[in-house]
Amino acid sequence: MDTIVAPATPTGGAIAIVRVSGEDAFHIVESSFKVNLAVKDGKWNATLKKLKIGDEVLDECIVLTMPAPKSYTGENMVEIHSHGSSFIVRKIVDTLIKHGARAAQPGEFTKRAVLNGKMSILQAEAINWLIRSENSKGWEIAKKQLEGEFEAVIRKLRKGIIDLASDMVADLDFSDQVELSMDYFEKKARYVLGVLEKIVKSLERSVVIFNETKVVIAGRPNAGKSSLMNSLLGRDRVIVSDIEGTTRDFVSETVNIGGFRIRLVDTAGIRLNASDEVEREGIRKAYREIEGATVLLLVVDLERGFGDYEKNVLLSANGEIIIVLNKSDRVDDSRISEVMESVTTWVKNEELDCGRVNFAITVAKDGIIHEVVDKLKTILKGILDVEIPVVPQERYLALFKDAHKRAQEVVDAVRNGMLDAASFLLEEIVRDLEFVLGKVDVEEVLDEVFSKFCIGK
Amino acid sequence: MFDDKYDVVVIGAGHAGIEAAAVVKRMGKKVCLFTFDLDTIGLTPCNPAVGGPGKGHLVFEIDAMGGVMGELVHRSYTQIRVLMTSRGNTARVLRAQIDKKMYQLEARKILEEMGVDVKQDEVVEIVIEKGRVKGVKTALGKLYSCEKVILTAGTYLDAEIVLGFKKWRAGPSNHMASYALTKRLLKHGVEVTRFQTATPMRVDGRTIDFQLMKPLMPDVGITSFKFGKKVDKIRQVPSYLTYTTKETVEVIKQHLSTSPIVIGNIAEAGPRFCPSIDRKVINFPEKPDHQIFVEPEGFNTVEWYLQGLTTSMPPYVQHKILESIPSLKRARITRYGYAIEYNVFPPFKQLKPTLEHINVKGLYFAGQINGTSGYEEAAAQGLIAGINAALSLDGGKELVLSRSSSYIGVLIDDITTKSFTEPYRLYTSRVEYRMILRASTAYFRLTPIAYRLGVVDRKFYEEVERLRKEIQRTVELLKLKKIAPTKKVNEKLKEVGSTALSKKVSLAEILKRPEFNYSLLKRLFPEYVPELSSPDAEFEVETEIKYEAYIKRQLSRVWKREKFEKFEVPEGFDWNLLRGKISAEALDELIRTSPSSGKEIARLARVSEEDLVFLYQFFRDKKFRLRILGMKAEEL
Repeated sequence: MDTIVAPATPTGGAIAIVRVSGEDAFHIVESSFKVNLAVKDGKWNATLKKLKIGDEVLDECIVLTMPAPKSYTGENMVEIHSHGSSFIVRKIVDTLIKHGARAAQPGEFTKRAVLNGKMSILQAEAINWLIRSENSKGWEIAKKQLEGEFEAVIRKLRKGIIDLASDMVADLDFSDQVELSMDYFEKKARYVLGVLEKIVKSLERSVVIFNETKVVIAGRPNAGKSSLMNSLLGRDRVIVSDIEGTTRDFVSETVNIGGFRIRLVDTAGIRLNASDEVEREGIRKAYREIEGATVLLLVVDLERGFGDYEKNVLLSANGEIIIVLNKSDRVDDSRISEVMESVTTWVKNEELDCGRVNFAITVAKDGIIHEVVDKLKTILKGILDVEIPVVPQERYLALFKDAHKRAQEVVDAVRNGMLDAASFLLEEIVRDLEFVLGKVDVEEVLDEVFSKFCIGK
Repeated sequence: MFDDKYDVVVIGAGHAGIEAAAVVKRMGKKVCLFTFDLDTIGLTPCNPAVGGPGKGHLVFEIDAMGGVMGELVHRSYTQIRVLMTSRGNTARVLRAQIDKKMYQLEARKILEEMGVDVKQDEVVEIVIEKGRVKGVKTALGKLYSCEKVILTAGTYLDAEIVLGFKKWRAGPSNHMASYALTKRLLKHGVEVTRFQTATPMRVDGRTIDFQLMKPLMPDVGITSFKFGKKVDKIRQVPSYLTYTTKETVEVIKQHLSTSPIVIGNIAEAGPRFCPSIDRKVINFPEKPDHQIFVEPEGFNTVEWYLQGLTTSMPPYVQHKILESIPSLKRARITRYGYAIEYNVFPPFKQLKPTLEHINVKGLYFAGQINGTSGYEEAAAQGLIAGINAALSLDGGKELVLSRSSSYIGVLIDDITTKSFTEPYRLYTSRVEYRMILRASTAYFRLTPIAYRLGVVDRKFYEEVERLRKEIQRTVELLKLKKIAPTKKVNEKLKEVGSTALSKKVSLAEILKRPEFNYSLLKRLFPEYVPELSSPDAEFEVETEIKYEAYIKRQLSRVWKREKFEKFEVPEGFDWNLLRGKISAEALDELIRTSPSSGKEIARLARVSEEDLVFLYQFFRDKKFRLRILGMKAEEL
């Protein structure tokens, strides 16, 4: 295995670290900088060394040696802690390359760690996301995956699959000696389906957690959208005036609410009869945002009430909804009840899912929006509460979704008395998920058959 | 110097030997089949049954390729049953019980009819010069010249019978065995190991209480293992099912110290799928009711076979075991169960996929000497060894059946690419492409190949083709013909408990409904759905339509998989060069097994598909290889 080198820290800090990994790591560092590392077998060792290039001292550095296999990559590794000058770092890396090291490709240290069995691919991906996590939830998930919680679920899935596969083999290959009922097969197939379902759901939510959650503010012109936006951001970002249609373009900001990273979008005030083409285009865009919102904040002007305008918006929403009853300072409480009542009745008549619709009463221009924040937190917590800690991976999501679909087909095939097709589909699942499950060899399944059933002539 | 001259000599007239000799003869070569005893050609020394899951597929495939096993079973069955009728169309398979003596007589007759030279003499040495077969020497001092030898000696090489505390030299059923041949073979770079297998006691049927057993009735009217032949009803007899009791388990536990497994006077490597009753009690001590299938040994004998009671415990314990089972309490033992140890030449790293030995040109191995178990597995190998011996006489391209072509292909691929520590049996679960390799498609898959090789005649081939076209035509018709959701149609559907149509759908879509089969479709829409030439054809149409999605998916998988297996590993390749390039787990296995081809690598338990694709690229693409190794061209 050749020896690779790369800076491990970004430029600009007081200290910079250069990492070297590979069989010849010690030798290359020694010959590059004319130092003796005095590596001790099986032990980490940190010493202060003057690194020389030619006869000239480049820098005084802490040199940490980590002999294989007790290192991150499982290979011989050296970390050089120098002063944080980009010149020094460049010099160190260039000199090492001149003496036989190779510039590492992105992620190559971790890749080696995986290939050398120091960590699983799932742990490696967790590390990747741990570095990128920007909120407590993301950090928690990445950390749990790193600690192996997701792998425990995968092991459970693998066990469930082998259990089912071996039952199928016993029944299909030793039909005269083992006869299991279709109900029994269905129960076991449903278990596998259930685990896959949880994984898919968790992966989907994880995508939301690690990427941004979109919260979209909509409402009639001058209902108070921009005031709400500003209050949520805690500053005057959006120009607020009493003239309708002040906000023509969308305003979008990232904000952290209750540990969740959120992209807050303020749509242009949608008028039902837009006068010019520019505004009509704006309206189309606004509807697209509303459709894609994780949470929709529909601002209703209590003075004007709940009308066709609001109904159109609600019918376009796909996510959770908070009806923000704004300008409560200007109306009587009975008016608030009246508006709420009319919304509830309409929602029921339209057979919308009532659970999706929440109310919050606000005076946005004065920053009285705590009800919105509380509702938002509760909703986000509900959406983002993952059962299985797993970092988002588009590839995983696609494969697990496929596997989930197949598992549903397994259940269907069993129900239709096609155990032959069910066993084929189960093998497809195993092959498609091979990269996480590990290979399931036919001998492993047969071993399980013979340990479970007393088979033989 | 030579007494006679043959193209091919086959040693051993068991199931492998019969197929090998027959096919070589069919391919127009001069062949001689040697056996200890002309009266025991086609001996079935264990159970009187052929077929079942996996094995039944093999028999159809052998029949499709012009082998004789299907014909022999058809001429000698005592009953045939359809198994797995409630597990989906592709799982359905036949099993036959045979009259053992009749099977032997028919086997001999068929060979005589074909004009195969059969000789009663023992081959004591295969003459090999410079790594090439020259002829064979017999116990009677005769010397025969031949270019090819197919060794199909079954369990007869250095065979030893174990029964209780006794152990003696003999072949199955105390027949003569061979103690000279192996020793002389070893000088030519052939490797040997030792396996064991065992068989249960036989009893006098007049002393069995059949009233206490469950009869297993034969099926009638179905197609036999021979293409186009029907199972007639007149001459079938049932077999029976009975169980051991708590007392049986007690008796065995009390006498375990007399079991050869416990004593240790027998080789370890016995078949897991065929454990002795003592082994079952050791492994599952809590289970009292082990199945015993009671099967007739033939029409003209009172002997019955007790499948499930395999043991080599001493005779007095065998009596006690029977006494503990109400239905067999008074049963008189005619032959005691015993175990047999024999030589096996593990094919892995020793045989080419043609079944020819890598170190001896012209020497082929087939059957139980290859470490497989079962009459069917043996016959399949004999057929392929015979075809390849004959093909190579003409210098032609030899036949290697892929895993996606047949169960035979899987069998031979398995034994030549993986090592096994117990006798090998072909489970259907080993066959990854079983959605395509249905028993019902054996003829369509293999008969065209056999026809090209000149193994089957034109008439047979044309019959198969006609059937294939009939099925294909019908499938297309059912896909094209659309049914409108008329009131009349929906009423008909309602009558049979199927949901009404809301739009126009094809007949194929209707057939796909779980509650439908071909005959129901025919009954409901007689004006469109034709009556086919046989129930088998209708069954196959139904299968192709119901399983269409799975079949398609499997075909696309075959294409991908087979592509990435096509590479060779240079001899002496240093796998350590790939350290850090593929997973450590896979690398360990590669180092341990040092595979020589993509096919072998694909069968390893720890090498994933991703690893395989990487290795494919690595060994096929020089630029990729150099880049991976960080080398310049001249360094490699």
